[in-house]
Amino acid sequence: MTNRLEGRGIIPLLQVESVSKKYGENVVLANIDFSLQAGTVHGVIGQNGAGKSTLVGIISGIVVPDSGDVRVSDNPIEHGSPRAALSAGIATVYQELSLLPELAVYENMFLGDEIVKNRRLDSSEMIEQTRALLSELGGYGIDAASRTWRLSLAQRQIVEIARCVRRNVKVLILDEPSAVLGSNEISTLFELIKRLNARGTGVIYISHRLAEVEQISDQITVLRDGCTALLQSRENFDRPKLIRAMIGNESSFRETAHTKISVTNAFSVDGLKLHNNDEVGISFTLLRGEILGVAGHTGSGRSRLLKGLAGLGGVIGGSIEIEGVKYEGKDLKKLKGLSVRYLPEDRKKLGLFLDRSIRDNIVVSDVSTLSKFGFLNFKKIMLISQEFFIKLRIRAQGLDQLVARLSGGNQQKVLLARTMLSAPQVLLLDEPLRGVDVGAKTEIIDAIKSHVALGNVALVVSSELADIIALTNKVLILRNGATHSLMSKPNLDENELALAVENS
Amino acid sequence: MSMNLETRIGKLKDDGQAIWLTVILLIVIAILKTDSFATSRNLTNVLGQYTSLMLVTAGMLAVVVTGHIDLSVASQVRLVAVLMSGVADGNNIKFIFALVLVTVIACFVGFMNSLIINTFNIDAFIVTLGMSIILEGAAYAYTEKGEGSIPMSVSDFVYGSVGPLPYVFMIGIGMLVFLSQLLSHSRTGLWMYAVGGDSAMARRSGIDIYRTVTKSFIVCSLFTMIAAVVQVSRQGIGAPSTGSGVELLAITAVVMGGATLGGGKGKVSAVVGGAMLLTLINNVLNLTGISQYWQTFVRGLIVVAGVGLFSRRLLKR
Repeated sequence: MTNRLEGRGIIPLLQVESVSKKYGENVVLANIDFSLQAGTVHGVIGQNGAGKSTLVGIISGIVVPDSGDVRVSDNPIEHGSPRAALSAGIATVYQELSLLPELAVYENMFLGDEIVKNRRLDSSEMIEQTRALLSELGGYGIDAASRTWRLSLAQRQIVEIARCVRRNVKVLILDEPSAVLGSNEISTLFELIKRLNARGTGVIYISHRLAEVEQISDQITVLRDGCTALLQSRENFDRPKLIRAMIGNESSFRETAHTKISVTNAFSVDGLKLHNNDEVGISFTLLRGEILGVAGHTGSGRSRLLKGLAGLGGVIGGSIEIEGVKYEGKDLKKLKGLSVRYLPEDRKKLGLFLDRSIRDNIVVSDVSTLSKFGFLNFKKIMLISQEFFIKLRIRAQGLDQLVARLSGGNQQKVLLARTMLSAPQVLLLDEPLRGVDVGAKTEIIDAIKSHVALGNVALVVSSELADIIALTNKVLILRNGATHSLMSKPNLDENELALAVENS
Repeated sequence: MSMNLETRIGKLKDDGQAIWLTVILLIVIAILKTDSFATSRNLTNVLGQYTSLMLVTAGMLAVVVTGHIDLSVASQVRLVAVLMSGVADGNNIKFIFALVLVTVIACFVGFMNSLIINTFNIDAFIVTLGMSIILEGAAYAYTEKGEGSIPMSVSDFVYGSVGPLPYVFMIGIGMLVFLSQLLSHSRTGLWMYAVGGDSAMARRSGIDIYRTVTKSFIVCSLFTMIAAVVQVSRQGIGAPSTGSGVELLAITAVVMGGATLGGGKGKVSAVVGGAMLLTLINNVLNLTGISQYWQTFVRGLIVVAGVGLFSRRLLKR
């Protein structure tokens, strides 16, 4: 390998040689080789748990590998030292943005590397330099002196990247950079990446959105189960092959057959009002086995509708009907024991107990039905959590594993298992497919569909229209907390839907 | 409308204006309702009392900003108080020696607190509680009732003032200016906010977390030490009961001043407003002449109401 490269006279900017990492018995990376040339983008894709985060961790010095080497321009980097990695020119922009909201933009830009004059921070110099750099990268309307929490997510990401640029970063790692961005913002990001490439910066682009990775990368590495499953260069990108390499077998990527819809009304919403304005309330009817997609811009009331139906408040008027029984919208907050379950948008903050086991997380909402005289019935708990563990194909060492140590897709499955445990007639799912890789996505879609096929209904909010199309029979588009339009299959396709949402 | 109001309240709290407005309101009420508040003697007395709590509160802020807490400050006050009076024993030269001794002890205590927290990764709450018990034991072991005395010249200085402003108060203000400069205009200060805001992120930025936390605990202990010296000099003799409960008052003041116990937020100018409010409440209740027990009762109510009003709970982001 080295010989061949030397023969070509190119020493890669970054070279990772036969790196391995085990956590206990669990092999996360097995003998990975990886290289990045200056001025190019190397995409890394793979399912959750394939080893992407560990690879990033090793390159950026946060994870200590069991064996192997990381070199920048042929100089080995000390393992497990973020400082050494930084000074070698490696920087990472994480999926969870890591700017401190309380600090000013320029303070974040210079954090850890401040300009000090006479033992005092030289704020005006730092602001000046931040301004110059931001405008060089394209401006994006960011005020260098503003508090960081005032910026939009996209702006914060640009600040993070600019921070790396300022440090003369040679290797920039972007971990799921597009997860928080809209499509306009993604093209801005790509523009920025191209500019960095022109400056000679190498970029490692990690994402589960294959289309994006294909668009921006010069090379793609597919990781699966800790091994390199495939390495392709731009001239021979082959999407089916990439997907196959990612998932292992193609069969799990099949289009699931649509379930039969019976003609009984299962769930209807009549004139539900979320706002005290003149708009007509939201109304729709779902038959048993139907899934309603809820779309609209951010702030259009998608999440509020779900929360309201889940009894978390915010409903001003109207009524709902479940299996022929009518409930007043205003009373939803007080009613208990409705067969309705809600999956919140942010699984880590609002849903999961990260420090508890998978089992505890699955059963926590239903412990009262799983106990006798106030004591937990462990046999029942084991049986039912095992059932969902298998049904949802949660990939973990066992039911006792802590949820914090699962990948995003598997965490989402645990939360979904909790939501479905009591076999609710109405499922309310807010962004169930966000931050979930292709493989887990298919499995989650399958699980939702098979739950609904038993005669239940579901409402699904998603900002990814492709997901809505894959899941649902009808789509409700909201605007300002009221109905904008209602579209239904068969004449539902992604373009039309995108247009409708755009115009809402 | 209500959101608008909330953000406006939030803005006030950001700069500590709300707490100072409340302080002014309380002063106005005190002037109108009591005869003795606005006397020069009372004001000097209030500011003298205030100086100690103000310094402990400011020191506590340094620790709270980095996301920790120091429950051992009350016992640090105890130990410094008994040592100062015991070692000085009424002698000016020995007083200087005692001052050097307690400075070294304060640095050591702050260093140990942070060393244990960092090395064993134990919560500051537990570590400093343990330290508090150890120091309390040490203070009682040294003397049960208090020993020696503070030299008269020092006591005279501590009670001395320019107009209603005690010398020690002005020295304290000088220390606050220093701390506020440290927090907002030095690298160390920025790092403290960063560590308290998100320590994982601070680590990734190449910030030395251990050293930053250590500095914050040492600052806290040094400020507490000065507060204790002022306190014991006002008393003349250091009993091991000196400083009882000051840790909770300081934490209350810090929270009222808009800092969050989670770390990463808080301003010197605002939290010392919290300390001022607590001191004034005490003084005004004293002047009204209601019984000591009811004073305690009312003080508790006011503290709960104050924290509810001024803490960041209302501030939604």
